[in-house]
Amino acid sequence: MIEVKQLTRSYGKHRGVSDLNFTIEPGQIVGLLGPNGAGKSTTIRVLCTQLLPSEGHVTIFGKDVVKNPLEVRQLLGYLPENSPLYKEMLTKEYLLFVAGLHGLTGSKAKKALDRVVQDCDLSSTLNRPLDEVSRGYRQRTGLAASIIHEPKVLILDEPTSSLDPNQVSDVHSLIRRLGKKITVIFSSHILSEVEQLCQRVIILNQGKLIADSESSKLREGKHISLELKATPSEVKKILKDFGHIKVLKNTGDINRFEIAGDTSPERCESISKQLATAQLYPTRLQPGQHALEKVFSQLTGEAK
Amino acid sequence: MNAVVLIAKRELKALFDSPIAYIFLFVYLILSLAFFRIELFSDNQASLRHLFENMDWTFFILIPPLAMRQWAEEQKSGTLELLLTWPLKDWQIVVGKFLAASSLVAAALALTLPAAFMVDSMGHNLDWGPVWAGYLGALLMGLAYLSISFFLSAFTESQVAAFLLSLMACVLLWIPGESFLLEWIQSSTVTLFQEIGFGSRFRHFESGLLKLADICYYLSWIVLGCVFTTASFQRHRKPNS
Repeated sequence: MIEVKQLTRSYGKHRGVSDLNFTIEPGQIVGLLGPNGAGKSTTIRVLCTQLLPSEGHVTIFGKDVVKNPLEVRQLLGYLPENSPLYKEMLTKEYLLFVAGLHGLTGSKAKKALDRVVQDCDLSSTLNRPLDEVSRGYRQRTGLAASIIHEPKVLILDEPTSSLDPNQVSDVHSLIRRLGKKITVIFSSHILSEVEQLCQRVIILNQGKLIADSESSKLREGKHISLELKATPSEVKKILKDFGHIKVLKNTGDINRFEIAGDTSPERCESISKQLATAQLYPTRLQPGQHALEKVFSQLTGEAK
Repeated sequence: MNAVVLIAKRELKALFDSPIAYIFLFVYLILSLAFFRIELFSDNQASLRHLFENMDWTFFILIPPLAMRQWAEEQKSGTLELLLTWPLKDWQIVVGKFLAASSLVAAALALTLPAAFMVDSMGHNLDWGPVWAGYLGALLMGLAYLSISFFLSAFTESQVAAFLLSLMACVLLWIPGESFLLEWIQSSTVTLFQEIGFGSRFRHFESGLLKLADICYYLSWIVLGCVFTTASFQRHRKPNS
């Protein structure tokens, strides 16, 4: 279990995070979400014992990050932003080096290497220098190194920044697989990424916690808003395959409806096509947002 | 201890995977042997005095560039963040890196040994006592310069700044016992200046005189440099409030 109590971390007069409180139970994938400068990296660095807190307490499985930093580091796997590596090393050399630093030698190190190579699909680059492999493979190598000692908690700082969509998808599936075994905390400034991967989302802004919620709640409130010249019974009949339809306004020529569920462009397009087959053309068809999503959109300026 | 060895091995490999180690060894050999050859044949004496005479300045020219990349590179590439979050004590990181760079200094000195054997084989009956004492003194002086440069380079991300700071510190530690300075100071403080100067301490070794005080003097600088470098790690962790 990770417990963060009244955590404050200052940089001179500036507060990176201020009076932060949260608890994370084992076996969760938790997203730390927030715009740039929100305090995500500061929080992560304190959890990883890289930075000492100015005030407050942080414990990981009962070990205090200030009093027992070495024990905490044995429990953690950490991948910093941009996945720094010793690029002059071969992939295999680097992984064995990290294993050695975690006290794994001989057959234990070899076993650990085989495990992470399989988990992170690194067999094709194992004997290549890290400065010669693609960014995606470097990211996977960083991830492999962070789990080589089988940590109880894996902390990833913006693990998909600057990756192409295929590489992002690879990293996502790897995080999902790992999340079945251990606690994963990862920071991102992309809401959809956190929504897809995490069971829980913690939103930070200007160093403060502004929301802490199950990510399923993000999906719960999702809907597509629809305005068109049709009666509720007509709309419900035509769109019967699209789930629950809530009637918001039924008093005039143009009526308003809310279709619960996914807000993807593909679903919007299907609805539009279905209406077109009945010669109905909406005056408005727009994905709606849940309260939490609105909060984040406002923070990042997307609402504009 | 295993972690120290792992870090030292990785660091040494990184030095030899880049041109740095080769340039260091090559330039060191050229500088020390070129002057040695010229002076050996000019006074035709069976001594390595001329080799050792040039060691102090060749060291303070070559050691700061060797030390300057040690921390700056880690900060620039972001790997310092990893080092600080792996289950390592700060001193293990410092000692591991210091050992790797020390091996290079020792290797540079070892590469000049054939010159000693050559002088001996020329039938000059070389007195090996002062030779080994000179090598020990050179190694200790080199490691003391390295340790100080290590500490200063831990304070900056800029390799140029690290080089200039280290060079300045090395020169300042070498100058006090040098004759050109001693001529200008009061005779009562000459002994003090000679005690401080890296060069004047080294001359005891050069003449075959092994004094515990000299060995301890250099060792103190080596240990102090490593201790302060380790302490400087706290600046990455502590809130600078």
